[in-house]
Amino acid sequence: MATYIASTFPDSLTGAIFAFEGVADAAVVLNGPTGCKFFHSAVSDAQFPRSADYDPLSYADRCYFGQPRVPSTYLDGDDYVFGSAQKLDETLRVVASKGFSLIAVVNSPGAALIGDDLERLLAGALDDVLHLAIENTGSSGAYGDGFQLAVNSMLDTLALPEVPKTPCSVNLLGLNLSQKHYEHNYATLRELLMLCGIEVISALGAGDGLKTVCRAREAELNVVVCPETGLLTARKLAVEWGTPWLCVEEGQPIGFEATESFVQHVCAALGADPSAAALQMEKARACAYLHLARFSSRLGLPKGAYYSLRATPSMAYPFVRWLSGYLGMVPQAIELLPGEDSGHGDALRRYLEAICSEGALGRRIVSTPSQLVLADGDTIAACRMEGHATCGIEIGFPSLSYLDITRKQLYGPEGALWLLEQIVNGLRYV
Amino acid sequence: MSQIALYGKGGIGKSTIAANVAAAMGALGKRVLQVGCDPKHDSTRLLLHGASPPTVLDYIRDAPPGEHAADDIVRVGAFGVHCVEAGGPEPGVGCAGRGILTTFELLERLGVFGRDWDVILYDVLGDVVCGGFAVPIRNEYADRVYIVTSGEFMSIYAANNILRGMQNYEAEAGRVGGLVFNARGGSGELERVERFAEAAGLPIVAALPRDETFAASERAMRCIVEHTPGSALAETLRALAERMCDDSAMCHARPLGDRALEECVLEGRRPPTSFTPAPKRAAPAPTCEVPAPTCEVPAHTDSSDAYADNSNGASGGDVFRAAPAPPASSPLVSKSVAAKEPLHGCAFNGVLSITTQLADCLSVAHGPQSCAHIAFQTITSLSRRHLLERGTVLPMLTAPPIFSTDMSEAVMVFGGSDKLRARVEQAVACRPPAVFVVSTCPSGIIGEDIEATRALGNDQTRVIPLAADGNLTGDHLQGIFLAYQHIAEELIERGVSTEPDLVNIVAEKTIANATEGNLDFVTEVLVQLGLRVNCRFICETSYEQLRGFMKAPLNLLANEDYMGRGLRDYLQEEFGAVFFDKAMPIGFAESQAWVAELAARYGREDAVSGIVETFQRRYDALVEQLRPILEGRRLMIVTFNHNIDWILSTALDLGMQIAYVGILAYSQENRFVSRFIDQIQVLQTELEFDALERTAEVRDIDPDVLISNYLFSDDLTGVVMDTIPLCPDAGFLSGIYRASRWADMMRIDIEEGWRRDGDLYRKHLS
Repeated sequence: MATYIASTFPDSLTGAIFAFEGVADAAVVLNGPTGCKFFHSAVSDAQFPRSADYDPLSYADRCYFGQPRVPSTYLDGDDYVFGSAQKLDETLRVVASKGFSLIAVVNSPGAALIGDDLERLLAGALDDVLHLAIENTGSSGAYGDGFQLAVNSMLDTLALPEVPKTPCSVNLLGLNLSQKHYEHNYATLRELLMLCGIEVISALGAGDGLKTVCRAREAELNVVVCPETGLLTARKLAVEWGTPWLCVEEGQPIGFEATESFVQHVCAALGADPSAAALQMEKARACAYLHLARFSSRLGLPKGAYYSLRATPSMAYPFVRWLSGYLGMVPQAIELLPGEDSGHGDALRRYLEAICSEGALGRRIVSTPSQLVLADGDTIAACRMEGHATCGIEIGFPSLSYLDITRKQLYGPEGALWLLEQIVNGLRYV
Repeated sequence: MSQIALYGKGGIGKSTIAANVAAAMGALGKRVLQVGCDPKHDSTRLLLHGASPPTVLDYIRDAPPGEHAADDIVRVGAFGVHCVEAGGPEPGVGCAGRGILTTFELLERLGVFGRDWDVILYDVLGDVVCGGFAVPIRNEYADRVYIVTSGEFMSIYAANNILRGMQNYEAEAGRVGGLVFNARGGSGELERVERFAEAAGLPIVAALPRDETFAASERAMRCIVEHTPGSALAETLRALAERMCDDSAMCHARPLGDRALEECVLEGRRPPTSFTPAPKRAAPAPTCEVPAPTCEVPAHTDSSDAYADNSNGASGGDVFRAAPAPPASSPLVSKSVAAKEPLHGCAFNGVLSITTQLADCLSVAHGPQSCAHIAFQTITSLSRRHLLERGTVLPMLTAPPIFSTDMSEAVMVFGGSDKLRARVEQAVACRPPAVFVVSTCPSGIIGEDIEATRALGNDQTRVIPLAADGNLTGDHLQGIFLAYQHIAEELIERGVSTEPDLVNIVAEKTIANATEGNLDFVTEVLVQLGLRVNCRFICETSYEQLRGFMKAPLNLLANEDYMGRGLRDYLQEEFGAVFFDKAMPIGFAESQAWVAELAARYGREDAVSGIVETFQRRYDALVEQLRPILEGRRLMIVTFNHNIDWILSTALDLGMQIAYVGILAYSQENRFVSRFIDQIQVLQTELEFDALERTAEVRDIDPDVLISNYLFSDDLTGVVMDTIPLCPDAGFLSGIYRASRWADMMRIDIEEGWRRDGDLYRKHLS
């Protein structure tokens, strides 16, 4: 029997829930069954722990089911017939007592079919708390669509007044809880841009509190880091707030060149000086050179090593350019995750053609042996099950459940060095 | 038996006609069940002389499933017609279509449809508005459909829509009986209906005039055949009833396009079609002549209303007695479902956790992408962690073969049978021995007919639908039960020859840390007794292994919890499976007894000492080593586990005091038993532990060792705290290994330094 991993994509429901879970002092109430709740609660709590308390008895309210996050209305068959009003009202009153700054209700796909009037129910139960409802996240929609639907709805609810722009300031759009090391990617970009005199005001849905989110309109520029989860919001804010946006052609700031390009483009758009960040990059390149020169002279690697990759287009493109263009590795199988493609997929295709590797695009990773697999935990585990002697580097969700405590990131100079560390340690037996 | 559905636009008089036809059939001596499928639940009002029976949906909502009985919802009306009303939500809320599906499921389960009716008459809300309202015209229900219409355009438009709905469920034989024209008194009405009937190729089976008799009988809350039996209208209704009972010339549904409908009805153009009855189906058995063996249906003459309520002194003949459900299909019911508690997880996920344990089979999830994704991640979570921590792959949990139909918004609205079919065909093309088709909440709510996919199987591959309907059928455990039961009934071969050295292992947890280790323990013992594992039901197994389940003359129960007991009882009852009377043992004494009894069963008492002695030496050595540290210490246990003797016996062997045992209330019934009851100083079952008062309670008990399923976050300096798993490891040393941890923690007697940094956490991170 062949190995199937076809159904591993989170969809728009997860995107919407994670958008609200990515606001530090917001709560998302899932109007749906616990079958949809447990997973989202566990994952959002693992990705963005907000509490030191893991004791189920601390979350004894019925709607929490012993978990700290994503309370739900635990709908059952009766509720699909008669509506969810009573349970929703009870749940909202429990959640309202917890002191959240924002409460969002998201319908599960089944609840969306009932058509309960969520706005009316919320208004009745949450008169003092800022609230909103997402009645339908779109069945089997793209994760990014659900994420941005939620972010955009939140901004609509906040109705932020026009304020003077803060010079040399940006919002980072598209970072979110489903990304590996999203919080340290955010911190890295914040620090890198700060070296250039650029203030990062917020990253909507990536861990900021509501107070910070409310400052988003101050930003002079919206930088779309991940177009799959940020481009729609950028376009909306360009129209509604008049905030220009920028999406870097080289994709996410992964590897040296893409990071340098990212910084240069943002600085150019704001008239800032990138030299301090460039110096950081130079130091990181120097560090990489030291280790690569030694590694290469001893083993002839990483040049020529085979790798496979599973990522969104905006992530895959800089990854491939770095892994092949900088490290000289050979792509074997490249799987693109679904989502908005703002040109990075085409750019990747052209680049692969240029290095005579276009056949790698779309090839299945689990049936293509390679020496490195940069992917999510499921894909890495499936490769192992297929008997591939491969080193897995986790760059996506879900993880193999490694509990990260120290800072790790994929972005920026430190991210490039962390990835390099993983790569050279994974290729010693090639 | 005939099953007849009456459809028609709302307000067209459909319920009045249905009740009158049912009464006329009853007067003809037919045994009739009328099912009102309209949320306003007035279909049977005239039959019941104005009384309102409890609706099925109200009943389902209010009564525990374990107490459901047919005679709570079936009322007997005029001429012995049995009456059921589905009911539904208040206008503007909920989903009435889903209500129809739920109603039919309950009526099936209670055996109401299985009675020896001559006729079941479904009176269905005006239009085929969604899959739920189409249930009566699915192949397994109505074999004849009549559409009530007036000559008004919107009524004919609705009739045409119903034909469209029927086309989606059309089998080889047609099922449309024709049109019932119910005049409203407008000019040119009949001609419009005739033109439509001709264009659609349907007969007009009755023409009912606008007649004051209808209003008079309604005022009297009587059907016409009861109120004015000698009237011309009564005669017409009797003729219609007779025709419906005997009609065998059914037509195919041939709806018109919108433009053609307008031309035909409004502009008076007669399209070039003619009445073309579908090929006659096999002549129906004259079921109306079969005598009723258990249920007398008296011709109703009593005009009192008392008989509308079965509990109200009705005579025996009026009380409905459902046919008993066949034992083979008595569904296993989870505790949460039985008690109507909040559901933990969903049946869809539970089903997939089992179907994906058949290594060579595929599963198709009919639902949104998120459903398949969540199920996939739930199943793979343990595997990913296992790979990370131990570097090994758990093959059944690493890449569960689940195909998803990824139901889109369009499918939610228009149905997804085409997409489902394509996915199932894709799965069948992989040539597995079986493809399981599992439904989610959305597919259940919109009434997707996954049973139809069974026909997509072939000689190589069976297609087995499992209608979990997300959590509409229940929680995660209910899904596990559903999968166990259906897979057993579909796959296990009966009457195979047994092989004496084979045993099955039954009811292992598919996603639990302990499962693999427990299997290793049992296998090691079995090998020493000369036995082999035949089939693991259902854990890391295959289609063929399940088919050969009955080759093993003995079954070993892995867990004697609610799930294990239910499954054991089912396999015993349904297949005559023989079970060893002890579940997989946890702890020394339990393991010793388990090995000894199993060995004795096979006449291998000689092997026992060889198995036990090694463990005995290890256990005794550890007891001797730990006793000086733990003797006299006070043990407190707060847990969801109902079997903790493996801990208590170890603690007592170590000389500890059992200061307190609290069994937390949970969705499992309270089955706590212990052979050490008299040594537990304080015992509380069904415990509702209050997090706010917990610290004080623990301080009051003053334990040295506190163990629970999750560590308390309270500041309990001086108390050694440890966890016990919900699914403990089997084997001799489970208890003593736990105690070793307590002793080590007590020996080093260190309060962790990090615990003093809570203020720093609150200062910098919270």
